[in-house]
Amino acid sequence: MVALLGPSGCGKTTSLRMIAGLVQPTSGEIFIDGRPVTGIPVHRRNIGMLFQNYALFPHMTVAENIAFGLEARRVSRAETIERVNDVLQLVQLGGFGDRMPAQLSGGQQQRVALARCLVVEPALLLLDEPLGALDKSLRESMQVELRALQQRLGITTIIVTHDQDEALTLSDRVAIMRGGRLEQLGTPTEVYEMPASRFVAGFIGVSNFFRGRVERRDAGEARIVTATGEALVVEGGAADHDEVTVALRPEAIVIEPLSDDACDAANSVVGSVEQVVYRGFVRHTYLRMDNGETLIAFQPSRPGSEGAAVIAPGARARARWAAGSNRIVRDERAG
Amino acid sequence: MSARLSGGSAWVLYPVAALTMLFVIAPLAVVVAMSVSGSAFATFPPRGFTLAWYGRVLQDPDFLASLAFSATLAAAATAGALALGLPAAFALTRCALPGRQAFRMLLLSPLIFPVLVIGVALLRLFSDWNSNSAPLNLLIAHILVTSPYVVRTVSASLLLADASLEEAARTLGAGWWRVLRRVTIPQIAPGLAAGALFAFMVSFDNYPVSMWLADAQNVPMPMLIFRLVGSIFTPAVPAMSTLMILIAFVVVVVMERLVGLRRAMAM
Repeated sequence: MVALLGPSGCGKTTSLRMIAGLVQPTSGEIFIDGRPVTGIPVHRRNIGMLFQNYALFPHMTVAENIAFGLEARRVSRAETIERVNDVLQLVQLGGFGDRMPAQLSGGQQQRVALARCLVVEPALLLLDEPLGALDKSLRESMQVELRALQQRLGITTIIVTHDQDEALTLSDRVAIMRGGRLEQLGTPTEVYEMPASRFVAGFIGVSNFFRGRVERRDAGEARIVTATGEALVVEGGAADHDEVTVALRPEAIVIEPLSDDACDAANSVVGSVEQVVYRGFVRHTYLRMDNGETLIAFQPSRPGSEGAAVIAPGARARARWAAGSNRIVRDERAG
Repeated sequence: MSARLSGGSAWVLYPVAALTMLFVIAPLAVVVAMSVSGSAFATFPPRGFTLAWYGRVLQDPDFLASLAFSATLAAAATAGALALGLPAAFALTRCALPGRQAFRMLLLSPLIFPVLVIGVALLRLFSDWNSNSAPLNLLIAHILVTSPYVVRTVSASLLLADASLEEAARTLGAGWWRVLRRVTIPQIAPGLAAGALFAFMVSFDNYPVSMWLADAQNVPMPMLIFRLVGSIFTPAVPAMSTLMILIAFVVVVVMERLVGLRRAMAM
């Protein structure tokens, strides 16, 4: 399962509609299973597409809705009835065949729409913001259900979403899009832990950014110094450019009281705590660095031991992190 | 129509609505009343009561021929208007045509153009073409004046219809014909029915165009009635008119029962 993820207007739905054949690409080719399908009309592509508003036919019963694709494929009457019943069982709606779509709840309508796609055994399943219209708790349970169903049936699936949690939860690979271009394609772990660009690092989760010049390159690490004098050590590949952007995840940062030792170490900054936000299992600390910028750090809050470790707003504190947490990213904003 | 007005506005709106309906219905009631008059001439208020005029009218070969001709003409014109109006409405709402607005205005122009002028223009045109068949000329003319009604009601339905349903049908493997028949037409059925109804009624009681194009053998109902009013104005004429009203009424009720016209008319 691949997720197309991006802000609205980035072209993810258009890409999906091009794969479906509802939009003609102005250039390029589309392949399904190695076969070029660019010239093939929608109804011969053998795909299943789940629409954001479900697009159930309001004048047909649930069973007629589901049978529509089979009817178009000229499947016999007896087989149609059997397959419709089977797929209704699969989406746990056995016995709902005679209802009209308007009589169903949002979650049930969604299952009918899914059943309608699955019953034709499509080569490819396309999901356009499938869970966008459901409320949060229903959405989460449908995510798990959808994932389990997809793995059981083994259908290649492309899901369009603007919800990063949904993309990370549901998919094997995530394609992050921006302005009609692919920014990065990778597993959820890769795109989160090794973002390729500043955009990806900022779009998936939260990141702190530093810009600086590469001052020294040693075997296996590079030393970067920002304009205001902070020193960072980055593991692995030294950048090709002299000016680089470094992304840093907030959860990699440790906030501790100011002490005298190691005051000049790399990957460490000093500032005053501006705000501490308690978010349940995590505490967000906003540190105003001495260069004027704000650093955000997430620290796990351990119930029972609060007080001691928390640094009150206004206090001076040091933030430090491991060299492995720094990641040089492509920065499209830099000239 | 379950919504009820209350409070101050109701005191104004209900009487105004009642007066408007009276204004529309009263003349028709006069015609119905005259048709049952016992006198030899159509008078109001009627003298006596008889249904004899209906019996006489229903045996009048001129009336029956004229009624059959008008009904056939209206049905054929409706079919023609649907055949032309439906694709036109599709083109106007579903395709990104350049100059779409201009196209729409052109298609709807018979609605605002003086019908009498259309009739005269067509008379000239047909005589230039040596097209002497009155039924054919009438059919073409009636399709011309009725198709804008179809274009309008069907366009409105198409705009309200959910285009993603058609896309869903296509992704499920349906070709354009199956999509049209199974998904689009059921969606726009109220608009289609309303358009067909307008087309039928406009053709059925059209006078100003028919006047130019009819000949002695093919006389539509409105022309027959008008001619009779000018010669011998017996209660047979209001009886014919009442029958026309009755036909219109039945058509509307049947349509409402079949597809729920009110939905389409509300647009």
